[in-house]
Amino acid sequence: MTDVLTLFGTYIAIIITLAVYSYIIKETDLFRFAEYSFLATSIGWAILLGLDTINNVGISAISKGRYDYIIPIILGLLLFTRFSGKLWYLARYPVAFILGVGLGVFMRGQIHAMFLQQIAATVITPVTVDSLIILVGVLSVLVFFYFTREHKGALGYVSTLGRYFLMVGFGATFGNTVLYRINLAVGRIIFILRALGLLP
Amino acid sequence: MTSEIFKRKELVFALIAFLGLWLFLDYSVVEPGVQSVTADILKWATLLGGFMLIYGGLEALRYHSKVVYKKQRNWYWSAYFVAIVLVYVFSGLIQGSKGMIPQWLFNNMLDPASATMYSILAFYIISALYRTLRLRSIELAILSLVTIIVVAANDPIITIYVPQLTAVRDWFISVPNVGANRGFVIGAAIGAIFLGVRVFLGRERSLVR
Amino acid sequence: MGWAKKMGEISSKWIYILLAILLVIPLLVPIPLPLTPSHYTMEVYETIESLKPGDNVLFVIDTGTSGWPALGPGVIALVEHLFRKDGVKVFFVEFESTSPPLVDRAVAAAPSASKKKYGEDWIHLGFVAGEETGKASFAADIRKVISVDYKYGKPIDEYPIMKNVKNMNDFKLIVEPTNAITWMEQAIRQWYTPYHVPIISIPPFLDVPWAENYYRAGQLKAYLAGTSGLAEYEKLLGMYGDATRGLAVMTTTHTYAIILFVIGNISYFLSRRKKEVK
Repeated sequence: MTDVLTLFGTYIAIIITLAVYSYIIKETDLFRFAEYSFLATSIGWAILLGLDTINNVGISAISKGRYDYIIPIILGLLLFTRFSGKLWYLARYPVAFILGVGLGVFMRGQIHAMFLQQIAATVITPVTVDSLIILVGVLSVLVFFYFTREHKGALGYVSTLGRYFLMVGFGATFGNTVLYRINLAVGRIIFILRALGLLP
Repeated sequence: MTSEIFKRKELVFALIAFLGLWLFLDYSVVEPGVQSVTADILKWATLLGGFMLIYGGLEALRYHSKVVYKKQRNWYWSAYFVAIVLVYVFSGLIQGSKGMIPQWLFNNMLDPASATMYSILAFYIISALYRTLRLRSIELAILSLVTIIVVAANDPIITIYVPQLTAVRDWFISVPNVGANRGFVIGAAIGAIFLGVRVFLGRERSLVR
Repeated sequence: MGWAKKMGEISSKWIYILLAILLVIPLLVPIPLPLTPSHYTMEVYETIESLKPGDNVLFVIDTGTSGWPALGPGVIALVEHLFRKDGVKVFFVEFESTSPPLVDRAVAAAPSASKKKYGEDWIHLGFVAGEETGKASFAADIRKVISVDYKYGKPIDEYPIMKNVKNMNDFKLIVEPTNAITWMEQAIRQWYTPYHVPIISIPPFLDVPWAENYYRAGQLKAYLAGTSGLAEYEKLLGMYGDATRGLAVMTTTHTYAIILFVIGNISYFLSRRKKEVK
């Protein structure tokens, strides 16, 4: 029975893979089957993970005597007041909690890691041609994103240089995107060929 | 009267600002009491993250259930969606998320669909490379040439005959690209910091509906 | 010169069909290609080689099912390498929601996993919700966000491996393959910056330019770059995996992309010249 289910599952997986690729030709009901299967299983999986999280983080703490964890559970339940006509405003509070915590956590890391350490890496470095090019790139890109004044004259030239540096960055990203997307396709094709017994 | 107080947005902004500042300042405060409270706040936020996952799922279920109920366009697909979600969730509740049915649905529906959705872009990106990368202006020329150098350097056969291409690609990625990227990251960090300060001061009203 | 214009207007249908053929044929007819590990690959290899018995490694699979086809071979290679190191303990955790079942897949594909004992040499802690907040919470105190393991659902304190592991300070190395640069940035903000635990990663290849920035800034210790990076790593371990298998496809498809680029631009310039002459 398990073997039959496994085989059936493999064929469903192959059909879904080919159904998604059929979108390249035309959007058909086959593609919609794959699309809705993806959406439904993502949602189902997310709900199960959410329930697991509540159980492992919240319920287990309460069962160990940490009754203060009733507060976040009540906050979490307030989220569902969004579905009600009268009490919808209470859903703002759990969102505000997550927003506040997320913002604080993000900001503390952002200032150190994405601002100070990046600046330090740019200026505290041996002086070489490459490090000077990087410094020029950083400054010109920052000028490019400075929109308070019109980019005229010297500011215009530096901003244009910044634009050229950004084009190099986008070009490198685009070239690697070709590599990545093709690799993803290769991975799926290997799966199909393996399932059909054409690859070890 | 109480409900009127809870309806006020100022309370919400105050909560966001208080928590944000607490977490932000905790970084610099090495005080066990403070850090213990912070650890609990973080855990509460993780727990709320679980509720968010469920809320998002229920919102999607609600939308599709309405489509089925009102027999709107493509309602049969929405019915399929609702059926699969309910099967997934109830089988997961009975068997656990690692049970036979949830795992079967994950391995044979979610995984192949998710993996293939992203890989379909391979075809579009090749088409985009053919149709849009033109040496039309200086900016496009820089973009196109760097793209082609990177594509060529990622091609094993070309690098056998022109091994210098790898060094050229690596130079573009590790020097001018790092300059651009770092400027981007620092600029975005400045923007994020200012946005954070606005939120802490309660001046960013767009956060709350 | 109507043909010049037609050269730039090849139907998408034919482009896709030819691409599909070029994707499949090299997989069925393997073309062996020489591989020389780059310094990026060697840095990852030497970082793991330098681990000593008793070192704890946090393995964060954030590829998700969407990134697994491209990054999976690299994940398997890294898991295999870690399992070959005697006495090194591996802790699997995920912050991306579709990643938890991928741990079993990676471990099942690693030949040295059979020599390792679950609960003593490795453990699967499971999924932590909240993304960056979850990462911060996990780093501060593991037991605040994980009470049971993912594989058996038993309290984590029942496993010997968890005996002296409380928070991020107890880890020697973080390995984080990801399918988006944001996951790596979160790890840099919440793990590397406060706790200074080095991170090695497999970024999605399109984000290699971003990863290079963090690598140059010293925030990322090392990373595997691209298909060739993964294939080089497999070669260093003596494995013939899907990354090596897929390398030949890079040859056909990338050459095809370059040819299309050249044809498109020739058509553009010839058509433009014709317009100017008129």
